Amino acid sequence: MPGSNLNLKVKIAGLELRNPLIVASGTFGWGEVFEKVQGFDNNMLGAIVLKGTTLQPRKGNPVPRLVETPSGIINSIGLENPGVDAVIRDHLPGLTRCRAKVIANVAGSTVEEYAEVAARFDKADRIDAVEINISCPNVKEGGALFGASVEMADEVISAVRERTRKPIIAKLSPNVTAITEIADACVRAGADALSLINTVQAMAIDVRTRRPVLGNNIGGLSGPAIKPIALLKVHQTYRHLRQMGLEVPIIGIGGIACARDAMEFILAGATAFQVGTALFVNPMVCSEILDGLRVLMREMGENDINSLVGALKSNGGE
Amino acid sequence: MSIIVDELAIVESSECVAEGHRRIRFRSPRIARRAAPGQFVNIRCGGQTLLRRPFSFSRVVGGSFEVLVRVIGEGTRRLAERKPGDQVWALGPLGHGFEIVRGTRCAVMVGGGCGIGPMEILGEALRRKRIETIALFGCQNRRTLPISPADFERRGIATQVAVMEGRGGHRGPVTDLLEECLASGENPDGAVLYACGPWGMLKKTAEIAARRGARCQVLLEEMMGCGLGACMSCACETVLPGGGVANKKVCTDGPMFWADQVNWNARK
Repeated sequence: MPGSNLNLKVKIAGLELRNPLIVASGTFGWGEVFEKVQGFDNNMLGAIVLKGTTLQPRKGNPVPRLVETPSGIINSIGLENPGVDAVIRDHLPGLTRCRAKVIANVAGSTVEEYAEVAARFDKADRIDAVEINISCPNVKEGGALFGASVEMADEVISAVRERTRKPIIAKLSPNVTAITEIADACVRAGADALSLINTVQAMAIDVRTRRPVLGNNIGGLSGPAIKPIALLKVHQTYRHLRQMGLEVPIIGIGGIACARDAMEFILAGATAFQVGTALFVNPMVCSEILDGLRVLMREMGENDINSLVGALKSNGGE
Repeated sequence: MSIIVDELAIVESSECVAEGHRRIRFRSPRIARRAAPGQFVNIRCGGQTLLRRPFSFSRVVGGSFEVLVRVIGEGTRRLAERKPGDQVWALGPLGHGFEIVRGTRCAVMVGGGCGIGPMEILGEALRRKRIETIALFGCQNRRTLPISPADFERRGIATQVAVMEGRGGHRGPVTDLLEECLASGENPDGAVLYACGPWGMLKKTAEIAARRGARCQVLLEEMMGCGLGACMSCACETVLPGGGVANKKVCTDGPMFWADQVNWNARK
């Protein structure tokens, strides 16, 4: 059987994933959408991250919520979701038999909100871990991003840590001066893993109407255009944490569309990776990446994916 | 929702049917055999594009489907350049299409611009059920009309055309024809309207339908991401029966919506 001696299993904060492929928050609904496509099987995935969830239901932003840009898309959905109680009641039962790990994504406007949502997911058996989306604006600090300051990131992760025993993954924003400092703060506050990067702040303008294209004016850029940026951030964070003796698994996110892309992130220091935008282009990209990883590993002469994590060689300098 | 398939569709023919409009036929048995009026297909256009582009089914012939493409940007331009034998990835059929309501005695199809596309497959379905059908089509001018009224007349569908400029039809918006049609009483009670076209046309159609007490289905479009219901890009504000509003997804709850459910004030 081809690939039977290859190990793709990875461990994130005590959770064993059958493989390092995770589908990104906001691109997969509640796990019920892509299974409608013939040939797609949720069980082949390492993990699923659910749509960002807040305490109360959120209506989201006015349309247009999406615009294509060269090699990317800018989205400003606005965290439309039915609220944590409805998610647990209505969407988790459908995932009972799912063999992939299920990770909730937590969002909020205040520290208290993050903590409360995390606490409710803590009680939900189906949830294996919580990913904390700290790219949200803090309404108590004039809309500054939680993930843009060491103090706020520390506050949020600490508050969440007190309310759940489940693995905490801090999802980092690239829209900061020094992502390594935020990474540092999150790990010290109790995060068991980090996922990066979230989308890059961006905008598009309609020349004919002289207005921003998006209903919300600005949004987050994702897709192949951000891959080089994300790759660097993953690598910088990986090296920084090692230097500080704060190693935790890193989940790489940003424009991954094929096995080679994923391998770049693994070599840079990612234990696992997320795929998001690529799903919109090709619903079968997940199985293609997994098949491609096996082929690549054989070409590279490696039979355990874990031996490739952070195996980037140095060119010197820097 | 029925099974969705991602299939390599083969271009069988591509013809220019009007200024800036092409009719493209794709051999794609697994999609064609499931395609219903009002549903759409998401096609990878290649080149500099990333996301797929959605196109309503215009016609289904055996194991092939046809779409009407209005060339307006990079994706449609690339698609318009495809030659017979070329292959493109097609995902479909997608969406909740038109409903042919039991007991419908008369159907009035209102199409504007490339919104006329879905009217062929719909007209065929209505005629198969022996429902009296009238087609009202609006376009900028006769050169941009993407179908031939004779094709519809041949199926027993009385067809009228409205043009915004030039000759070859009623001068004015297609909704003028609709107003006349419903006022003249030529249609018996129980007429159902099916509309597809620009937002302004749909909004006016919905207003006329409400005033005349006619049930009306509209086919909406909105900027889409996944086309499957995962990303929530294509939100449409709808009015709930008990009051209040809720967002629906144009790609899965729609593209067909009953006109009296849509919040027509949600955008300009």
